[in-house]
Amino acid sequence: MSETYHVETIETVETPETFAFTAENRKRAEAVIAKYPAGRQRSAVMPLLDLAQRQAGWLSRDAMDCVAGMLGMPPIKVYEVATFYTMYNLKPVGRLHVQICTNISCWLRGAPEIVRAAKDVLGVAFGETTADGAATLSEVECLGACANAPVMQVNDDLYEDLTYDTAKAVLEALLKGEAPPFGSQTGRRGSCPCKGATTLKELAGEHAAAESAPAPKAKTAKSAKAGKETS
Amino acid sequence: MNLGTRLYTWLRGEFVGEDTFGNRYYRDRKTARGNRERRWVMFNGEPEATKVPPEWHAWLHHTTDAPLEGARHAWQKVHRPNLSGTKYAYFPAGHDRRGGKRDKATGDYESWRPS
Amino acid sequence: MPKLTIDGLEVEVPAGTSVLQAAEELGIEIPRFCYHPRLPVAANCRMCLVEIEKVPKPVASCAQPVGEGMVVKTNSPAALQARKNVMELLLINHPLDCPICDQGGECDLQDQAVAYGKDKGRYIEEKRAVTEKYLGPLIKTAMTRCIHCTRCVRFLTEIAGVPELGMVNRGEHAEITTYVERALTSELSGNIVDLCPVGALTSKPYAFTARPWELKKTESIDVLDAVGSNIRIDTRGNQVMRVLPRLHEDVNEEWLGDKSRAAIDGLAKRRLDTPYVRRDGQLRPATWAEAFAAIEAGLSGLKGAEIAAIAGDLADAESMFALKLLMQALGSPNLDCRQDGAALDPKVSASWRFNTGIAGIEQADALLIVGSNPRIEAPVLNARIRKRVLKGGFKVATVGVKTDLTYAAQHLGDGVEAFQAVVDGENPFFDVLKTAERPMIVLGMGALARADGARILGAARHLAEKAGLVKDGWNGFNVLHTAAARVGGLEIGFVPGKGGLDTRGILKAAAAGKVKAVWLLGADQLPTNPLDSAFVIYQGHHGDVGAQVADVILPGAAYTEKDGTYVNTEGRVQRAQRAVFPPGEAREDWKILRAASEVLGHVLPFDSLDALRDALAAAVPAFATPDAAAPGAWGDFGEAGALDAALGPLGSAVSNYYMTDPISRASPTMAACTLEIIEAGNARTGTHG
Repeated sequence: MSETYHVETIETVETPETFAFTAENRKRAEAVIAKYPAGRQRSAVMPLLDLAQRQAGWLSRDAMDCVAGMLGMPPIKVYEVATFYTMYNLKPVGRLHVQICTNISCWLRGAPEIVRAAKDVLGVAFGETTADGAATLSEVECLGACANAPVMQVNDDLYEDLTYDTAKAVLEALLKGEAPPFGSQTGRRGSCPCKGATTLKELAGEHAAAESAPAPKAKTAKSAKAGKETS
Repeated sequence: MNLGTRLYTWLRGEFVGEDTFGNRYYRDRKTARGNRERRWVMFNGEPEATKVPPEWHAWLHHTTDAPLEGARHAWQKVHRPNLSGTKYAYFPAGHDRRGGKRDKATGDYESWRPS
Repeated sequence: MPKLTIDGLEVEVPAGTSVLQAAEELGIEIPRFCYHPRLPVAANCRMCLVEIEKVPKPVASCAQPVGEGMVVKTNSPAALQARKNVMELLLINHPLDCPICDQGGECDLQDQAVAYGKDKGRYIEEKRAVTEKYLGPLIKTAMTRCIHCTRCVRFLTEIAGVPELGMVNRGEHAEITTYVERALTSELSGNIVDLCPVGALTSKPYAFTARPWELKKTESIDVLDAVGSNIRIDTRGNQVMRVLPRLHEDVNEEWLGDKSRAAIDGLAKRRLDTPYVRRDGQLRPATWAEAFAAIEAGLSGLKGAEIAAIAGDLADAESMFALKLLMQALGSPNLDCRQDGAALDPKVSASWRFNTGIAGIEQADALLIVGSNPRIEAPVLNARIRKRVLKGGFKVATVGVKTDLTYAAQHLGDGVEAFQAVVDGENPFFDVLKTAERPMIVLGMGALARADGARILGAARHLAEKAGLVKDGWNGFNVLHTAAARVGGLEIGFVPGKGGLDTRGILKAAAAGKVKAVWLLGADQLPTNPLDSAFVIYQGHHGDVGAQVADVILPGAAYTEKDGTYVNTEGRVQRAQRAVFPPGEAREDWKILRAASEVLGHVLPFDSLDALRDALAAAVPAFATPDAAAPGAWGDFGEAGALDAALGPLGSAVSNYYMTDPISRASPTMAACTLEIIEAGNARTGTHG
């Protein structure tokens, strides 16, 4: 039997521009660093990388070097962290970063349909960015919302309980610059079974509302407050 | 060529064939029961075992019943006897008879020369 | 002390010991790839799995601390099966290219696959291949072979202190890389080749030149710095193929500097392989007889005071001793082994030794480095200082040009004023030294080779006495040498005799015509202009600076080509052994001197190396006891007087780590290192500010 190989290469994107935190972000970064005791500043590497990514959209090598410099870390240790976590983008991404889970729960609930919807709307394959730079499509593993599968994440928001049509609608709205409501697209709440809740049928907020409606006893104000906090 | 072999060939030998180099091959006319047939060659010129080409070599050593035949391939070279000791003998590149220019080997060094 | 049972044998080990170490105590070997006793534990290869009773799953023994009453089975069916499975996983992506791999024959993975693996693979899917990485001129990579043990990453981060390697990406895509494709800047980077348990990191200069089973191994001593690292010279035929470190806990542990490891290709370049005699202003090849006749003619009629001898940095003790006896017989008091003019006091042995000892650094609690950059002067010793720094409670300060020593050090100043301030007690670091229990000072050649070196030495002695660096059971006064021959020469007394001249004096007198003949024993670090008019005999192995000015060249042997004794900076007497023969007409140096003495009519009193060593041991008792290092006797040394700030900042005696002696200057590999590490580094800092 002959040996066959697939070749692993590290893709690095060289950018001519240099990276520096904006004054506001620098203040935020310093606040994060201040959370850790002296000599342990490098614990702040992940929040700082996140901050850098939010500022520039992605992490260039220069951005990682900048974080390394701020924390007194060897640059390679920052590269290790940044390459380990898939949520750090080491390549430029579009304005919308569309991440679709194709792991088992979403797959069983119809992730391929969502992928088809995204490819239809955006016209690109996984790992590609649209020509106008509006959106990047990525295939990801679990997004942590299996109960509401299938799931798609666009930037910071999760869109759950998708179908081909709802996924298409969400993406089209996002491309137009609108802000469709995130969360479950079928209006399901609290990840209850698809045919409605079988237990804990009253939600905390509703319960408080129901209780306060028929002018009940003395503890109303307190429970209403508690309900607001938990809802 | 040995006189005894000639005499034996004349008395007992059955001619089988001749190769392209003129070597003649013989076998026993009669073989005693239980014995293997004897096969031998009368060389054309100096007796030299490596003169036997492969198709006859196989027959001579009882590997095949008859000398090999069949199409010669384009890549098959004409048989040559062992050339050691002759002027056609092979010397590797780097041998003194081929200029003595050899690749770098262990123990080599560059000596310093005054400038 | 917990007591535990391993394979039915009871053992009691200190708490905190790992199961693997406890098993080693019993002589039970557990296979491993990522575990290395001198590196932090990573536990990522999973090869050392063992079964522990009452633990449901196999346990990685390298990371499992022992517990009271533990019952460990290292070769139960479950443990063996676990290892077989781990081995199968490791081999999934490992290419089966052992026949073309340089590690073949000395590969941990190969050996352990035979010992613990399955007899056939079941994996038929696609393997992964990884692109090669560029790690500089010394390390060749074949990253497809990597099993991600991270020994190299941990070595560079922890021991070398140059964290440039890392593991990026994760899982199936994990790779060891510098990420930025740049040569490693560590002087100890070659050690990751030894540490790599597979053939992912191999030696670039040695690539595809030899197989381990073809090599003859000779245990010897390194002479390219003054640490005296223990080495193993691997040779094939008459060529040194590679040099590897050998374990010596008190000297180099198991590390070796890159120069000592890779400069050996210089041994095959620019070699002096025949005697030369200058005729009509031209050096012409000659026979030994002609060369000796020329020496006899050159020295005839000269008075003793008109002859001088200077020993170089690579000279062995035997040849220096022989040359000293020859010079004495010729009546010359002008000898010196300090070709850089370092102001070491030849009378007090404590003044030139690294008295604390290299292993002693680990006991110290404060350190002042003056005029030295141990990182490039003695990388292995610097790793020892770093090891001490990492343990904590160790204050380090430097006086001299600020450099990155791979550990945090307080920089007190560039020049002698800063040193004077410490000596006078004006700098707070004086109090650090004074209050420390075991304080140290390291004095480098960058300070001692200056014109005011003797006064710096005196000031350092003053500081040592005032701050309590020298007390019962502790001598914190250290001199860090850069030349392997230096301490040996001082021990022998290869220094000016009564009324004799030192190196500076000899050069001045030669320029003035008062010294008419100079014997250079491998001395190449000299300004040679003053020697133009003198009759120069150069005895050495490389055509370097000294050979250019010589009138007679006597081809000698390099350190791999002779049995020699070297004394390291601690005063440790160590024996180097001959691994190959000198090239051409070259001969061992003591033999050349013995032959010359006969021609000159002053026959030296020994005919064999043993007789020479007996004579040497009789003259200097220290040479009778190899591998012993003791602090020197304290005494009065150095000169009093103001230090000369006008001489500029205190630098290091070594400017380019990769080129310090005739061998490394002749080495193409070292030239590549200079180009790709030092010059590339300069260019980077130049453009990046």
